[in-house]
Amino acid sequence: MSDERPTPSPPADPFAAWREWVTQSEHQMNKVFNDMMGTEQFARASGGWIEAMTMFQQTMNEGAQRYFQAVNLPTRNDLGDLAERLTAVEERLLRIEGLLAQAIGRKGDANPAPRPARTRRPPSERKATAPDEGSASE
Amino acid sequence: MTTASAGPSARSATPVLDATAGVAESVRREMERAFRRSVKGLEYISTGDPGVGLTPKDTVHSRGTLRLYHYRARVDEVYRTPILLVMSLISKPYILDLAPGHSLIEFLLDRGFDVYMIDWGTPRPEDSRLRLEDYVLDFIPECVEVVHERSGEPDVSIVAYCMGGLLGALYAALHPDASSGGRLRNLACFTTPVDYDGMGLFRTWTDPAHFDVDRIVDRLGNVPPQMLYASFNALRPASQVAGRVRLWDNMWNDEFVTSYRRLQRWAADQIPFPGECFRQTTKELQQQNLLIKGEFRLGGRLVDLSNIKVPFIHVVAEHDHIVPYEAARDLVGMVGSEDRQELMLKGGHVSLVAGGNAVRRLWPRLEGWLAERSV
Repeated sequence: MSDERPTPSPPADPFAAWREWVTQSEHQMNKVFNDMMGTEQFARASGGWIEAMTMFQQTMNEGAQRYFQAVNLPTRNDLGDLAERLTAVEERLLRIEGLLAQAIGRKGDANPAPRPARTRRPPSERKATAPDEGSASE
Repeated sequence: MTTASAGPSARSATPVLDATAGVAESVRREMERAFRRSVKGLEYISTGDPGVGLTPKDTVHSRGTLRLYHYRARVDEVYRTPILLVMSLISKPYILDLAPGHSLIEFLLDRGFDVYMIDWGTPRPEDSRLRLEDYVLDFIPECVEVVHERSGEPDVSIVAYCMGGLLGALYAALHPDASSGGRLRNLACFTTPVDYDGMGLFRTWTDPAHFDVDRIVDRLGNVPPQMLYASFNALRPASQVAGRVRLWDNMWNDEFVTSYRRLQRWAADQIPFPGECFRQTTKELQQQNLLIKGEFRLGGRLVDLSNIKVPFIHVVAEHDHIVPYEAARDLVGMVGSEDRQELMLKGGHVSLVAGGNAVRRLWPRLEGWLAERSV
């Protein structure tokens, strides 16, 4: 015997409504901002802002560089040059290390990762062959 | 039956009583959550960022800031063809290895894949001269060779995300594949832009009439991460506030809070964009849109994506606001592979690859696609 009563709707949850409002507001606000930021005026303003910011950054960098030179301290460029030379030495060492490893017949590092068998088959093939093989490897 | 014995007045009163009880229950639940929120809120403020990128790995190759990782196997039997993950230049690669149980890399290892990943590292000032040619014609081929030497296998599958997808596709177009004496066996790209007219606000903001990329690069060298972070946030300005509101609302929920913190950490953990590479991508791709026109050159060679003949899949996100579908949809039609497909999944640019959405949708699809083509 079927029950004629309609399925009761879930009780109103004021907090769920609030969460829905947050989501809707987020979408609406994003759209409003995106419409505004998609205009040529905004692109021009943001280009001007970036121009000013990069100019400021460049002035600061040059000022800081002059200051460090005046007080006889290494500048960022000096450290960069040093890092570059260190990197070149490091790379040369790695190449020598690799050649040495090859020369003594050992590839890779001292603790090579485990080498599993490279024989795995896709699940579709394993399912198809499983009854004959007994148990599928997993 | 009880329904038959209930009179009309009792029946009309029941919905009202149910609704009242429902509201009372939701108020009780929210009060309980409010209490837990205050306790967990203190925890949130007092604890540091959760650890990320924890899957055990070995660094098998390094050059400058580049590191090639080989993840340690977690099963006794793996597929023959190793996977090389190629990441974006402007974000940290741990988005694919957020935490145990939330790591694509861990998932692939558990499903029997041999996984390598290129981490470009954080560019140093001297890296500002790097161009796309360096990545596509030098670094990636070198890493592919290391994977070949280390695995002993002749070929490799490349799985690449976002701008990494662009690098992977450019590499595939300019190098012979496994059937022609090369190394590439399969190519899987996620959310990879090819038509920069479809890049929405980025396109407007980088209009050469207002955006002088030469001055930026000449003055700054590498493009600072703050500039990139601000531009990504500006795409959805209200979402920052709404995200904080949702965090507060879910502060009682440990899983939500941890996941939120990991993703927020990654989103804020931008790295500088190598200057010359930024100049090249802005001018030749973003402003002139040369790739889709078939006029893009790397190292003097014309990039023809139809040269890509290996099995190919492009996974795009339905609600991607960073790489809109309009910018990504042409890729699958441009490659020359017979075995090619585009897969659109629910989610956004990040939730496509990380988080609960990715665990349910992308990861199993990727596993299925790769497994059939990795023997």
